Amino acid sequence: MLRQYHEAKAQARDALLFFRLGDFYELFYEDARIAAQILGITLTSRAKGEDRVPMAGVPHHAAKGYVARLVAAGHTVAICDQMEVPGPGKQLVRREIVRLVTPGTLVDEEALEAREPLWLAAVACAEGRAAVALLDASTGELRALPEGSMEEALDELARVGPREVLVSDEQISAAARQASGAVRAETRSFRDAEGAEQFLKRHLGVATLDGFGLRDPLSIEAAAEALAYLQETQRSAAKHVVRVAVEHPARQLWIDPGAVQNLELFRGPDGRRSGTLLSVVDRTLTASGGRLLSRWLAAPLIDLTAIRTRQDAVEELSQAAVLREEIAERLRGVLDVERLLGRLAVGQGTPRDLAGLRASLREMPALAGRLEQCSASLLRDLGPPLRAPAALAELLQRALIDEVPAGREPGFVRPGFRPDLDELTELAQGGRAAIAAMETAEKQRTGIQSLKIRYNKIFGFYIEITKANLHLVPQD
Amino acid sequence: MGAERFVTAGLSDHEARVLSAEERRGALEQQIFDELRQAVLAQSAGLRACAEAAAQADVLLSLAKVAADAGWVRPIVDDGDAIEIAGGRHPVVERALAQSGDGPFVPNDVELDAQRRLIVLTGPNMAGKSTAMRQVALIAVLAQTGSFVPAARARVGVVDRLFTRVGAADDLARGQSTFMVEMAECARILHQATPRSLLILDEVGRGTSTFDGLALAWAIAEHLHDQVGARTLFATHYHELCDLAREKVRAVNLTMAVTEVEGRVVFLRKIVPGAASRSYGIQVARLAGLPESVLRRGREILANLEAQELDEAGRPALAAGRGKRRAQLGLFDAPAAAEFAPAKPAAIEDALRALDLSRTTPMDALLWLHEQQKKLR
Repeated sequence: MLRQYHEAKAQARDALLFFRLGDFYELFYEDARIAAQILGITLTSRAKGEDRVPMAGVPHHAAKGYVARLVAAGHTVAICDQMEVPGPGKQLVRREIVRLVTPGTLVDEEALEAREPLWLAAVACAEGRAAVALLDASTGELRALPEGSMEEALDELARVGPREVLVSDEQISAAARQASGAVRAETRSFRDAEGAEQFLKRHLGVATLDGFGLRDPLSIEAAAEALAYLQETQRSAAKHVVRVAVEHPARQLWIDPGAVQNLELFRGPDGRRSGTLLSVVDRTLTASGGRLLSRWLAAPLIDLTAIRTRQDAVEELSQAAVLREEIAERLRGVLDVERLLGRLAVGQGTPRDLAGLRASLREMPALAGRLEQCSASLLRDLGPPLRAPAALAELLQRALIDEVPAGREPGFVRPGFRPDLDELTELAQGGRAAIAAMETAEKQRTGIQSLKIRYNKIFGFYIEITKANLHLVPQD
Repeated sequence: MGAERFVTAGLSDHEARVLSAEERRGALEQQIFDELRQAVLAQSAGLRACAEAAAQADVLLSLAKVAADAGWVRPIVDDGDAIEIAGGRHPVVERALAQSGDGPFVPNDVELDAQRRLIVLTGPNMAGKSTAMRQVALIAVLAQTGSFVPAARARVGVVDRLFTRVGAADDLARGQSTFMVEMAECARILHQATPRSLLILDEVGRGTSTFDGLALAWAIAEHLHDQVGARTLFATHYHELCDLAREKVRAVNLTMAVTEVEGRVVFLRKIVPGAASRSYGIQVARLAGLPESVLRRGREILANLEAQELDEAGRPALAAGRGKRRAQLGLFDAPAAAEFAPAKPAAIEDALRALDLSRTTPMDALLWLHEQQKKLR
């Protein structure tokens, strides 16, 4: 078992290895010491005497919280799970690292602030030039900035405040970490511009990146590295990353990082949200809406037409109290679609997430209907994208039962969706119809009217016959 | 009542099927989940667009609610270079006042345009300079976000960059390194600002001694006015800076209205044209509970200063009545410029060679440069 551990640990490199043993995740050696110190859990040892192995463990059902704390402290955690069901005859179950949890890729719902983005930044630099790419693993949003000076790159990190930074050059690691306030910085060798471009084109399914306006080699390298890192750590294709948006600071009102702090746009001096500009204007009803509002405030527009288009929409809604309430009513039923899509994409989703998606999509047609009545073009134009996933909504409605159980409990599929499943379900539940048929057949065969087929855990299925009728029982 | 149990071959078969059905059912459900998951992911792009549309509706609705409930107005945003705000309020402070019931927020008017690029805002500490300036920046941010703004009327000529520099109250206590940070930030602003930018500078030069601070504040304000031409709000407690506005065509003096009632200072929190004739520092100190004897001595020194101002060497006649001891205004001594700058105007190279950089503070260097430049002009 320890040999298996060492193999996994070699793959995990400097990540703390959470090694699944039955109902626990165990950490060994130095990992155990670090975890014991940060988490305040007991450090024990596996063997005695010379062979003592320091060990610390957490129950698997509570692991998420412990992982989140270690990651918040700037560590990375490798989750090594049992890939087979342990059973008699199996000496050693197969174990594999299923994902690496890092500060910038921790998409666990409970560890995330619903209204704040989770940025992973990648900084590619060469010859004094640099470009930043930002990836929100929880929603799949990928942004790239054009190439600029190193100072501009550090400014962007300061403005955005990513949790984790990847840099292509060890020399800027410390500066990048300091500017961003990230809990972790990692120096990696980035793909070269050509490799990066191929990689992005393949992932996004496009023949050229021009459509996204992504041209600067360093920007391409940075965007590719952020995406590659997400794929590697999550052992997933990250299909929720469907495009890359290029942001030109010159096309926005550029707010100096000092001013963001000074004006208390998003956080007060105590780090809290109360008493900030955001807290005054944020009356959003959904988490995605909350995050989008922060993004709008952080990057106001300079294009007059775009500004006026937004103003028209705000003006129309500000004058229509009833319409506002109707829209609000629909939005209250909308969950965080971006993030539940993110969880599904990195393989951490559950049937509950599918149900959440269904519930959200159910609101969309009515929401679209309200918005399409408006005269402001920005509001009207929201209609088509809101209506687009109607077929998927219908599929989920057919496939899922009304109250989907939490976690990975079975029984979320609606009867009638898949006949083969219905059959197995019927059978698994004791095959009531089959039993009833068998019971009738046995009654006729033996002529014992009180004959009953029963089930208990010790005997399994059996035929119960009262003593009075025993003489009627045939040989078989 | 007695009974016996029997098992038939058919029943055993059935039992085996039930048990394996349990396993197969789990596997099939997992497979169905994966299929549904793939079906969802296949539409990632459409779903993201849908989620984003809902988020946009949510944001626009939020801005509309605030506009309707808080009585904000739609600002005119254009490509002119004015910022005109009538009856502007600070959204956060206004809400805090409303919630605590501490009286209504006093709205203010601010106008920056082609003729008024630099506003020198004077007035005592606590008079509301910072709030008045910040609300201009916040209104610009809100306007360009597409939101309505807390004002009776507003016009915002599009801003390309927004900078603020606010001297922290404890700059002085934290010493020169903080002053370096302050100057580095100022340098950055001077380099990066454009005529379309909006600058909020609050108490620049506070992190160093009075004279250094005043000299730098003046030089920075002058540079912004002459070279950068950005729309600038410059708050200072150095009322000497008002002379700058008198000298420069596109600079204006505004001040926070203050009145005295029975020797006590009352802040009206209203911006009015003109300059603060005095800083009311002593009155503010009284509000803060400084002993009467200290306040009296303070008034005495103030009278000396106001009577004699500065002598030709730039030294205050502060010590009058206190013997021959020279006053030390700064926390750290800056040697007089004459000590290391030869007077010969043509000899700038010699002067440069003679400069011992290992013994020169950044402040010395800046003053030295300033001196040399003056000679050359």
